[in-house]
Amino acid sequence: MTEIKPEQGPMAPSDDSLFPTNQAVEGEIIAPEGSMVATVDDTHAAGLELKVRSQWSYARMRFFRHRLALIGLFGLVVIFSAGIFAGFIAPYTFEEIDLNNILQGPSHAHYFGTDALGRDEFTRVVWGIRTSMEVGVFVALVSTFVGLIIGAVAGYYGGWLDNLLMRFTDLVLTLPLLAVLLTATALLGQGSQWRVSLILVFFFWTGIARVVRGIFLSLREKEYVEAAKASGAGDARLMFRHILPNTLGPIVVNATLAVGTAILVEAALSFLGFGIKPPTPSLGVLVSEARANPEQWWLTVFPGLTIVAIVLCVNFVGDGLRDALDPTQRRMRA
Amino acid sequence: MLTYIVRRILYSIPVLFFSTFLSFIFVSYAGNPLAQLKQNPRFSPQTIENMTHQLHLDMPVIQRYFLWLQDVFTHKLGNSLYTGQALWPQITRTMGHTAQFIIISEVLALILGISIGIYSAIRQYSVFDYVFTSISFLGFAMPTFWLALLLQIAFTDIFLHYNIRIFYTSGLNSLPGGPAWSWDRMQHLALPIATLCIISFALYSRYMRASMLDVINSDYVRTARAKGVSEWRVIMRHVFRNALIPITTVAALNFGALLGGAIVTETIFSLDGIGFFFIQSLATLDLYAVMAYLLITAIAVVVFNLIADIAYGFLDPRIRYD
Amino acid sequence: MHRRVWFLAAAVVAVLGLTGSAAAVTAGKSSSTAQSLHAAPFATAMANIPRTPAARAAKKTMVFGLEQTVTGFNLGNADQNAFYAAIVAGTPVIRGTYIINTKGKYLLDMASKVKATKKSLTIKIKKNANWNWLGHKPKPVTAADYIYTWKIITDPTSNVASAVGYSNIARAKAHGKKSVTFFWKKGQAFADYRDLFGYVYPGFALKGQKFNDYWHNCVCGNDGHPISNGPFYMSSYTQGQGMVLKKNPKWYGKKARLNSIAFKIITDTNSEIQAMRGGEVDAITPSPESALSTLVHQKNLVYSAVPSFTQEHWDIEVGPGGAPLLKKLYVRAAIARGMNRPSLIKALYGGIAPGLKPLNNTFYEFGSPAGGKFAYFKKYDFNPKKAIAGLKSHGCTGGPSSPDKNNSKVWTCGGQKTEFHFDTTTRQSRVQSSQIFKQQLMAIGIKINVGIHDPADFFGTILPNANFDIGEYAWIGGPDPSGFDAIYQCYNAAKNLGGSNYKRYCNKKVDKLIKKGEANFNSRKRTAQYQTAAKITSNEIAVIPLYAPPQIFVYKRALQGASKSNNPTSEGPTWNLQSWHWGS
Repeated sequence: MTEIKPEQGPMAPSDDSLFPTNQAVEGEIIAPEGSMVATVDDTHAAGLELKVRSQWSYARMRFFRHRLALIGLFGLVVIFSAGIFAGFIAPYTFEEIDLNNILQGPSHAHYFGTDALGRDEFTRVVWGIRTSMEVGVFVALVSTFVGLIIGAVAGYYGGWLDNLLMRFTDLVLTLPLLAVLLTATALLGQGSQWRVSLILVFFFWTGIARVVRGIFLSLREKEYVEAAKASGAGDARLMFRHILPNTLGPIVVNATLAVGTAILVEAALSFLGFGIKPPTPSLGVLVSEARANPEQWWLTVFPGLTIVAIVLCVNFVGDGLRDALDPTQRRMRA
Repeated sequence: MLTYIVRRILYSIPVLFFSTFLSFIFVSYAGNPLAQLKQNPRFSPQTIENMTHQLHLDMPVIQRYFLWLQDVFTHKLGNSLYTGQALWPQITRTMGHTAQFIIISEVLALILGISIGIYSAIRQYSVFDYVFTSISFLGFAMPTFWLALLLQIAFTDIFLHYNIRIFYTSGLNSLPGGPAWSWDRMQHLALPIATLCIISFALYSRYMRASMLDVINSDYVRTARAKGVSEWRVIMRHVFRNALIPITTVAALNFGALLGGAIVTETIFSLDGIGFFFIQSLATLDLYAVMAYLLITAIAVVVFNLIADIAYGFLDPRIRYD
Repeated sequence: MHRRVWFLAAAVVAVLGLTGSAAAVTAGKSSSTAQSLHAAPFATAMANIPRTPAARAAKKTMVFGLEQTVTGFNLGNADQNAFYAAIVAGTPVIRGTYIINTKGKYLLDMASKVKATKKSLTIKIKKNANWNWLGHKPKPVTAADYIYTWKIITDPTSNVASAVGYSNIARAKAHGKKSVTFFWKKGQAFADYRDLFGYVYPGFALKGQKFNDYWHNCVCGNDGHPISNGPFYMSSYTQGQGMVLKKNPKWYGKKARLNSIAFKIITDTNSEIQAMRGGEVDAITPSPESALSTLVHQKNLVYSAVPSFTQEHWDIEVGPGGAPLLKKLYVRAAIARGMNRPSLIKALYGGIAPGLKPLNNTFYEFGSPAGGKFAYFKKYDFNPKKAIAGLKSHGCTGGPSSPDKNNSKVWTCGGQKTEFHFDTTTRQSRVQSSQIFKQQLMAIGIKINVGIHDPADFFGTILPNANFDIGEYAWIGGPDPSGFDAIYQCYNAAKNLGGSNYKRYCNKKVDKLIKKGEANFNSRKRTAQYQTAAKITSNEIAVIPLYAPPQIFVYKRALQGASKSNNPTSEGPTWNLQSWHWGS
């Protein structure tokens, strides 16, 4: 029974990038005319250059020709370094209360203005970037890892194990994120970002698990796997050495896009009051606090724009990676 | 096909069972719903004892779960633990409101998304294409709550400065209990619909564009063109219909997910919908209300997933379900 | 192939059409439940209320914005005992013996005379006090109603919010129809008798109903028709959206000047503000949020903010569950002196309640008994230098020598650091105040680590288990000081004493004073006893009282008779709803 399901999780199908990249070139071998098969030694002996490019270098080439991805990458570098070096570039501390300067608009002293307690909004946004970044990267990495393991095991072994794991996946998909978060808050104390991250991981791994499982299912019947098996390779070796590399493309893309989705979900949760609790500045918390002061536009606009910028850049990069790493891509005009 | 449907439904039942069981345990442990009563320094301990007993809080969790399950079938989801009122009328009322604005926004998003996706694919790499793909990217990156807040602030400003009320920024009607299909209601729903529409539109237009491109580059389309069929006929007869197939799946899944209530949108615009109902029930730890919501949305997700798969199999003759 | 697509499209349209019409039907449906009690559909009632203020004035009606959905109108029921339900179903519809005015004074309302002694409580009901039960002949309010009320509240199966006072009554005796005497149990005379019977139930109309079940969707008799002994009756209600009150022509007081009032539920404060500015509603009583500052100076609106009867305070745990250092008075004194309460109040409420002052009395919150010479807590006013001096003189070391905004040194007293946990709920004002106080206390060398919790967790686990160092939250009080008894009594679970004393403060002298005051019917002596208790609890810093959050009432200037409406007691701003009318 094959069920064909569209890919869950971060959406956006392939063939979607805005800019055409050049036709993928499989390899450049400069060989003397007439020879059928040129080995490395032959060509060296003939004093000619042999440029054999690996799959990865072609991927890299394709990526760098993708203009939007480059913009995204640049944007991410800027924003993420702002987050990493928050302590250095922030002119104030994010807890510094100045009751004489509440709700001031953007100015020289306060680039993004101040909030209801006189705290510098720019500082809070920068620290918020750091928090969001930590959540996004952690969730993406760990959920990808978990999803990979589960998907690999399900796809490789098939049968009842596959069935069980897939039903478990269905179960996780129907569980309510908010209820789990609320309970965790009640049982374990306040909403620290790490706890929120762990719970998000619990809900995020399903997407990658499905994709990995699909790849494993389709590849385990292939001849080269059978051949490897026949020559005595164990399960683990088969999974990791032979099948796994084929999943790396979708995994990398999925992980990148998951960063963006995780940041959006965390922001929404913090906004609703179920995620990271104040006073830890997360971008969602900043927008939520701004609701009480709708006339002070800078409190709503700046944190929101930052979220949009981060997710946009992440999506650009993810799109570029998808183009670069998909070996079946054909970029031809109609 | 029928056996496939039946098998899927049968598989869903234990999944629903486990999911509601786990959710029940989660919310039960989230806290004591009677805690709020203690904010009155003169609270009556007798009442707390009564209510502990009435809400079965003195029984083990598993037993309480089966009592709830019993209530679901015998009492139509039972009564709210907070107000003692029947839940089913509340669920139908709020679901009606949510369904109203979700259906409108999804239909709009589909129409817009599909048409723009088609045009983008036909005129690939044109200015039109660039502009709308950028808008799609932006739509994906925009947090729902931020978009909703911006719209709310923008239209509030317009009203306060120019004294013209274009769209309302909260509530379902100007006066409570107003009619569901009136100009007043549409003025109130315009902004929530716009919020949901922009984000869904991004999804549909990108999917449509991509699947159009997939089909446009396929062999049978080339054949049609080679045969001399006009471009318009090629698009309409061959490309469009085949490209539509993946969209039905995405639309069904998206709709199923949205039926859980566009929680954030409803909270910001104070709409009496099922998402808002859920948030309020969570705040008061009204276990039965929360479970009613979870059950309904879980069923909706399962049903729409099934619809998505069936539609896909129905439309694409290459897919065969055994 | 294409046939399948059309077929599917048709199926989708059919489903959409079905769901759409279902939405239309359910959205317009009234909230009538299977229960026999229900009011007429709200929609038809609201259709008659005009949309513009001028038209409303012509029709003698108005729209009032409510900020929270209401869960029921039985104000005695624990579940439904909410401020917004009281605005609608309290004094406008169901009245009692006394009514409390804006100054906290108890005025006789339904009773013509009340006599209370150590032995008994006698209430004489006004001759013309009656019940208007639509569809029935008017019936007078009788002693039987009072006795029914007492019985139903002390019934162990009734989920009452509080039976305090009612459970002190041993038996009742009716003298004819209009007079009733309640006899106290031995040694349990209840001096706060004026808070009893503020809400009287019409027993005859509720036959066959259980206390926990009635008045969820209406204020009505057991046949579903509205009932009232006040200036209005509830003519319709739609859950989640609002209700309508109509003038009761048979009320015994001065007849209402408005014909009807619609209450619209608007849960979002920003939307409420807009609705007020835009003329969608004519009056609101919002919870304090800084966004309200835009309404303060509107020409066509009157803005009123008065301190409510709620005590926002810090509980400092002196029992075994708290930090050992907090048991020492000098540490608590230093904490109190390091807190700049006026500055906090200005930051949080400056824009919306300009004159709000800190609370300085631990039992009284309002008016003359709370200020002047009774402002006992003033000795612990903001004085960071004295705070530091106090710590130093008790041998603490390692802290700053003078108050410093950028200080990071923490005192060590008797081998322990002055570093404490601070817990509070997620409410925005509390999150903000925790940050402000944290900074103020760090300036004098006391570090607090803030923990934010959900209300269910905070009130359900953290407080009752007395497992905290410092907690900030609010108690709802009233004009009578005995409302706070359970907060200061020595905790004794077996005797049901001090049930709300989470901080485990215990002073036998205070206990004695409270016990005497509870049973003292001489109001002058009683006040003296409670003030002595207030003095002791202030000196010992049993709590750090912060402020009373403002109660805000905004209404259209053209609405007359509402100038004295902002009532900070449980009566709410609709306590004189019958005198509101449209003027020029």
